[in-house]
Amino acid sequence: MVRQSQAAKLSGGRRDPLRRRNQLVAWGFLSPWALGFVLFVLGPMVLSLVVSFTDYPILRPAQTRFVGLENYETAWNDDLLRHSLAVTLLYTAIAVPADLVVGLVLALIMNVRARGVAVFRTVFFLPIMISGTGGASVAVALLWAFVFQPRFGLLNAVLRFVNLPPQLWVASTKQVVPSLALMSLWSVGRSMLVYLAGLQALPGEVMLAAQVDGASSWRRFWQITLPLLTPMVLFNLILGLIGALQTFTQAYVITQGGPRDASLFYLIYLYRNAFTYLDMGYASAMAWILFALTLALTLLIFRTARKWVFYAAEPPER
Amino acid sequence: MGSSRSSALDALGQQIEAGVISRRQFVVRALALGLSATAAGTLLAACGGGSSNSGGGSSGKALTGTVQILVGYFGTGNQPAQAQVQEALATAYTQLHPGVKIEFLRIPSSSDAKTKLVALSAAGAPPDLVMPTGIYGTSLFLDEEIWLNLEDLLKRDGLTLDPYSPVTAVATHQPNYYGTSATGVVGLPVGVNDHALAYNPALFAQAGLPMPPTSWTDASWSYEGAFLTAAKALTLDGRGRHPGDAGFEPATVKQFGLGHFFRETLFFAFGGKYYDPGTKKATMASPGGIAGLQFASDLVNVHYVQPSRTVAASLGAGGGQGDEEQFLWKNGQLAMIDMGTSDISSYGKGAPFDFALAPMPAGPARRFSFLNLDVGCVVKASKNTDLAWEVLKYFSLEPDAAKRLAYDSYNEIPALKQNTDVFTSGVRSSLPKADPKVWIDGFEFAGADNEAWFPAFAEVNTLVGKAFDTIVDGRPAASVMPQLQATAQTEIDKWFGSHKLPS
Amino acid sequence: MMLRTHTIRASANTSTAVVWAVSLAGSAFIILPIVFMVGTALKSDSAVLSVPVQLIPGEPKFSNFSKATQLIPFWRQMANSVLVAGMGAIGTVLSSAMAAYALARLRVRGMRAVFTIILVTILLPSQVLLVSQFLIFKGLGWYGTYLPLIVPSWLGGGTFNIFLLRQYFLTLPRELEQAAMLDGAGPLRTFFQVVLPQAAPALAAVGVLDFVSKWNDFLGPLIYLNETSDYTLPLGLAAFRGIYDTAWNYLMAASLLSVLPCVVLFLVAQRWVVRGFAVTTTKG
Repeated sequence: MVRQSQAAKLSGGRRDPLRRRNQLVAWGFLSPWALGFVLFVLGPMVLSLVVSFTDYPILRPAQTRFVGLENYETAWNDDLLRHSLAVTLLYTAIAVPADLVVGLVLALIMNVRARGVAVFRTVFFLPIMISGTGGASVAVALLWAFVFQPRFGLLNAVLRFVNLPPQLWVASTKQVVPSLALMSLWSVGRSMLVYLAGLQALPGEVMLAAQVDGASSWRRFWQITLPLLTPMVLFNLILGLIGALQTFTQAYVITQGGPRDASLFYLIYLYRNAFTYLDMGYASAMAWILFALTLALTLLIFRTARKWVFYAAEPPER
Repeated sequence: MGSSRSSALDALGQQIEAGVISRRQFVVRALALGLSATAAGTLLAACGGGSSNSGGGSSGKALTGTVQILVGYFGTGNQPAQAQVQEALATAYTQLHPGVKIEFLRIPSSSDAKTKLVALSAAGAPPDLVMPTGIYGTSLFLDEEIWLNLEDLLKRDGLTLDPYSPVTAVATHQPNYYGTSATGVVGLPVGVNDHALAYNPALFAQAGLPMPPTSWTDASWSYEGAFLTAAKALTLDGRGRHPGDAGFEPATVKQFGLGHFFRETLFFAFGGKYYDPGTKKATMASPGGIAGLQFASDLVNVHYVQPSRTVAASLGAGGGQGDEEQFLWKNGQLAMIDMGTSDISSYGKGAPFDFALAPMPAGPARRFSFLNLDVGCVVKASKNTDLAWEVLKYFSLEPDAAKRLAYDSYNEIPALKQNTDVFTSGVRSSLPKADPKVWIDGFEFAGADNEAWFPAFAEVNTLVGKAFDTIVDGRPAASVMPQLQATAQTEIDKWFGSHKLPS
Repeated sequence: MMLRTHTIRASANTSTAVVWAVSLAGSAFIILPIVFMVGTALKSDSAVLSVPVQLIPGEPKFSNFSKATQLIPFWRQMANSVLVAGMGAIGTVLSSAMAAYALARLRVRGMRAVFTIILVTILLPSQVLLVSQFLIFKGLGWYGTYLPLIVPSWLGGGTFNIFLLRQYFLTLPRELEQAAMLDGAGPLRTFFQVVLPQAAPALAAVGVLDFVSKWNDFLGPLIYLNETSDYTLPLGLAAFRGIYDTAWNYLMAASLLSVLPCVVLFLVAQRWVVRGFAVTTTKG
């Protein structure tokens, strides 16, 4: 009996019981995720949407009022929210391209078959070992807080060593965001690794053919290597973008949004609204605004991706 | 002789009323003080020896349960030495009341502690006590009805705030929220502090300056007078020139006349006020307020006697968490500094030189010094308010425990009148040149103006902080303050739209 | 003829020089902070706040490490971190592998929709759901326990991991599974005995990365953990900073000790992690 239905599975005949069985099996495997999704993702999303239409005093829940779109209206007029968005976008505009470019350059450099290169690769991966792919951890943030320390820290010591003037780094309103972007570059190993994997998976025949054809290495890079790497670029771009928009730990640990709110990242401001002003309704509205923004940006990138991302099996669109 | 015995008897009376000691202990101690057995018995009866009226006295029902105390809400209390004292007191209490366990929930960072309190309260599992909370701390969530109004419990137990120094009583009430009669009581005082001006006598001598006076009523020691003159004489650039000298280079200043000095002090000394409860209006942009902040800004940007934030950051040692100027002081690069009595252990004793004390200078409107009061509050939503109240009384009213908590643990002046000497003698023995009388006399001029509650407290305070920052960074006070007042008013009006002042 | 790699080169010599220069400069940028961390951890209290700044102190104080672990309940917190991160990582690997398998192999109605939902969920910042998740966990009565930190991993741990593992599963040949099913193995048995072993590198990558991410989780423990004895290491480190503002030497010592387990884990599993990472991303 059992063998018969399994044989039927292989042959593709007798679809109905097969399909239902497959359906059950699939959903069985998905059930942990599904349960978690409803409980911890969908539920909270709906809840936070509802809360964003209220004034929910978390410590006096009986006094909740329904306020409609008032929170969103306030957000629209909130200068500080605009400022926090600007800070976050500025940081993203510096950190993400830097990571993309530096990671690629490093991967190209590391992709030589030389003795000892593996050591360098491990070195670049060290920060990832320490802080994970999330990009920031409390320990790393504390380390960099001291690295940035103007009088006794590493960076100014190096600057003084080469007779350059010491900087204020995270103590300066103008330098704090670039400093944090510099700190993010410390974790470039993650994107470097992705590019390396891509480089090593490049189809050998194509490269060989181009070489035989006599194409210069520069041309080889621009016309063959880079297009073939564009999926990796897209991958790193999306991950980097999402990570940058969600910067929180570094700012929370090192600067607390300062100095003078110069590093008031969006999530820091959200956190302040939630836990200092206890304005949960407004914080939820802020959360949904960020989500919508991230979604919009990602869709935009995917749309343009069709023009510049080249998958090996398809010809590039013009 | 007689007065010390009677104050000791007072203490005993409070202890038996608070249910902290048993009748037997009372009699033993009273006899030790020289009372006759009859007198002791009479006194015991008069004080209501412990059975019915003091909510859980020792010979009445035994106390049982666990009390959780959140420590760190106001950023202090969690250093190991401080924690040790608290643990010892908790153990002592358990010895007196074996059914009671006291636990400490320690959160070292003040902002995390506040998040924690909110999260715990929202989750229905709040701590029972929060201690220490400054006035600012209690004001922060006062209108969220987090703190239990202790008025009724005090009345029930026949207690008043008399045992405490008079200044604490005013600050323990929260005017504006509990109404102009301000009868509500937010917490029981544990430690009280005020601020004075500490200075480095060696630097004064080097500059050939007379030492500042020690009297708070000496009119010559004013901000715009002798203080500013001294500060300028004490500021030296890379080539030893003073502000105002020809060729003075602000960028090379290596010694500052003043540091770690709060612009809020100047705001109030020049006559500023945050809020008028009668008209429900924000009042920051009064002429006095504007003048005060402009003076604060001028100290940094015109007279160059105080380092700017960025200069302090480049010369300090912390991670920019605000201790930079204290570092300069300890290094002998700052001549005058604001020092509260609770700061003694951090940059008072930690300084490698003997500092002296002067009063806060007089502003045009008044002489002003911060009054910081640390209280212990009972969380209204706690499941254990009665037991928490008993524990709080122990920490705040039992003279020995209160003294150890306030002085040994929090390093503050004990709030109980009878314990103030501990502070004075402690300072005299450990700080040779600092006269504790300056701090004690300062209470007459100290106020909790900057911490007392007003509507939209958290929001307005953030706005005030930001506005004051921009002024000290260089923008003219005359243009920033009216803007601040307007935006603060918006927040206050919004608050009145969704809350009500209790009558 | 040897396949030349794609570095930009004019001649062999300059390119080697460029490779070395960039590698060394880049490595210096990565290594110096780490050396600084180690050096600071070994400095005495006066050496930490002295100029000129030394990278490694002349007289290293190894006693800083034991002192640092006394200033906060370090070992207790490390044990807690191991528990939370370990339990969480196991849950993540299992539940995301199951979901990924369903999406990769079992072609049924609705999978596309599920897949899209998963992709969109990646965009959600975790802090966004903070308050609502808090209310839900409070309703479940899980407040003050490790459950809010661990259980979500067991129920679909990390949408990104599902995506990665799905890519990996797609590369596995179906023959082995089909053979197993012909032999009479049910889907679960096939999954555990045939599929998972093949996917070991990817699973290792997911597990290690998730472990490190949970090891470093700060906000979750801050909100949900009550007792100081339950705290994990990031909370302990933050506490350190709150109490001792300028005790950088002890802070670095404690930080160093707290990152060592993750580094060791990575080094041990390195080959697998790199391989798993590489395969999944190239098929993206």
